[in-house]
Amino acid sequence: MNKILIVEDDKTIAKLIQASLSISDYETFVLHNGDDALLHIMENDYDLIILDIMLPGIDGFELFEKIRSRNIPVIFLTARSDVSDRVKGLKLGADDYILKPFEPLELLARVETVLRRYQKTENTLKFKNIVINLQERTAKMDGKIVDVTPLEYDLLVLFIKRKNIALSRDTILETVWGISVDIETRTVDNHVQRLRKKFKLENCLKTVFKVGYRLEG
Amino acid sequence: MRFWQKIFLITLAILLVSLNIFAYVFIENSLSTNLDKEVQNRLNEYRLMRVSFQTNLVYQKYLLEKTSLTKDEIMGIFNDFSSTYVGSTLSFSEADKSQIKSDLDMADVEIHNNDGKFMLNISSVFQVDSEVFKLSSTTDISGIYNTALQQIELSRELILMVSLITAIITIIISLALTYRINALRRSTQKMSHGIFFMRAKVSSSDEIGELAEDFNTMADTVESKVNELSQIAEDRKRFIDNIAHEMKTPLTSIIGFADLLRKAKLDNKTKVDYADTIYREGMHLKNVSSKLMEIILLGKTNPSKKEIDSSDFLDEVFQSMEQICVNSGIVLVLQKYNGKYVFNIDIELMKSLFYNLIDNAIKASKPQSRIILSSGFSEDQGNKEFYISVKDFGRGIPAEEIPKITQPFYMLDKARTREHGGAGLGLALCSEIADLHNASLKIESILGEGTEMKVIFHKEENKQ
Repeated sequence: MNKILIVEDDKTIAKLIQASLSISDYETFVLHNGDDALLHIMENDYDLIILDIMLPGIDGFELFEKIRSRNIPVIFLTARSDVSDRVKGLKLGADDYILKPFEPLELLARVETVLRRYQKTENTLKFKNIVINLQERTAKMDGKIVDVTPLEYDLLVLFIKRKNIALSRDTILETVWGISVDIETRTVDNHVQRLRKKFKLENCLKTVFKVGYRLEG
Repeated sequence: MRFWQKIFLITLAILLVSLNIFAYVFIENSLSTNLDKEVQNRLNEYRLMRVSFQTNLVYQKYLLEKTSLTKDEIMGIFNDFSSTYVGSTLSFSEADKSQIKSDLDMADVEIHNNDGKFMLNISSVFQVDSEVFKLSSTTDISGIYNTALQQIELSRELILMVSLITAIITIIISLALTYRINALRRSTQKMSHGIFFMRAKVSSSDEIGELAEDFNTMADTVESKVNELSQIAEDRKRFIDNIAHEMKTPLTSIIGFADLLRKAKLDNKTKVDYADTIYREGMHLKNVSSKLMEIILLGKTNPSKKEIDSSDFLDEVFQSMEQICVNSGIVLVLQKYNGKYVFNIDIELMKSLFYNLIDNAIKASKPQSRIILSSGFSEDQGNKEFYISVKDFGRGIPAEEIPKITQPFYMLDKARTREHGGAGLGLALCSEIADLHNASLKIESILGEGTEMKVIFHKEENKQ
């Protein structure tokens, strides 16, 4: 389980980030000002830091400079849409830059990308009796390998990673099939049907009215 | 053509023309004077010579005891005479009778150029007995012309020298003159390229110096205007940045939690919690936007002012706010100025100013403390100005923060401000309202002891 530190002075936003990250079972810790964060980061290990720029005490940029030696991936989070700020953040060596307002799923995707880049993601995913080996690209149910197509495999991985949150058909298409592919949303429904059968997920993989599908459990 | 070249060429041309005219007139005049004198001298000499020759003829006639002389005798006498005569070359020849002039004193004067030599020829025709003769005297007067030529030569050299000296002096003067103009020009050019702090050097009190001074005055004005404009632009940018930040923060929460609500599998308690968050952030957004609208509209509307006794106005404010203070466990004290003071204000706007000030005071105060609403006259540079003050005994404001607290979106303590539902716009609104009434906000605060906010009404406006 990856440990993520959130440095954000607005308590509601911090809560939102925590709620979003908890979907993917990340362990989160929140601090509200730059000075506290500096002390804390020096003494604790994190896999990723989500850092607001406008902070009481030292600001996000300054904090980033000071903790660079710790070699922890950092994603800046800010309401400032100024291009120069954005360039500054990325130039400093931040791994990503997320603008407010953001959507929880977008945040999750960005966090995952950064963690994967640093190879901090785990090799196996588990959901109930299903175990997925990400390196081998195999899916086992009750210890036995289930035969899946690459698309079904990607879809299953997406559902397990985004457990307990509904995914719209568009999001699924975009993530699994790729943006430019001209496929009808019916295809998604067909694949979901097959996954339900192959992994006996009829009770867990639910259709959410007006939104899409959600893997519950 | 450059200015210094113009000055130089014009001066030189005028000098050359005038010197040449002067030299010409002078030399011409002296030549004709000398020539007149010479001719006169020669003429006198000639007359004397003629008389002497005629006398000689009479004398010879007497010696030869003749009544008339023959042509040959006369020629012989002339030859003897001319050989003894020193001065001009004389010639004697026969002539026609018709050439005799009525006035015997008269003589023909001719000057002719003979191979570069100027010869003065004086001649006259007269009768000796029956014979008619022409007696002429020729003198070389080239000397006079040579003098003139020498004068021309000399004046040419002089003119050349004077022109040269004048030319050098003119160049120096005009270059010195235009150097300063050019220096001023360079300053102007730099300024036109946006270097607004550029100033010209004022090195004299003449016209160019004055021009430099005027330029500097203009530069001061331009620079201060430019700075003012860029300050305004910067303020506006910061204001918009702040709006963006203040709007985006609640929006992020609203969008984010709403998205979680519709997509995530949540228990009921969490659902209520998220909905509550969305509601609170929505309300906050509403507060920010309505305050913001107030400020924006305030800048565009004319306040509808009415005359009101300050005492009545304070009573109204006191009545509205007393209960709110009591609810927060705070005592609001009213201390009115004894006399009558009528001022001209937009009552609703002014009330909202004091509601804001008292509201701030409540938030800063500890329970059981007092807030004093008072009025009076302040002594400022000898002129008395009416003020209304709101004084609390709360937390106070750090001295270095005081100048910033009227800026829009400035929050002394962000977390506390947000807790009270504020957006950092209250005091900005107050100072806008004060501006509309030609009043100013004076803030005095001691950290830990309290704050006094005075709204000072400047006199000029109230008389209008």
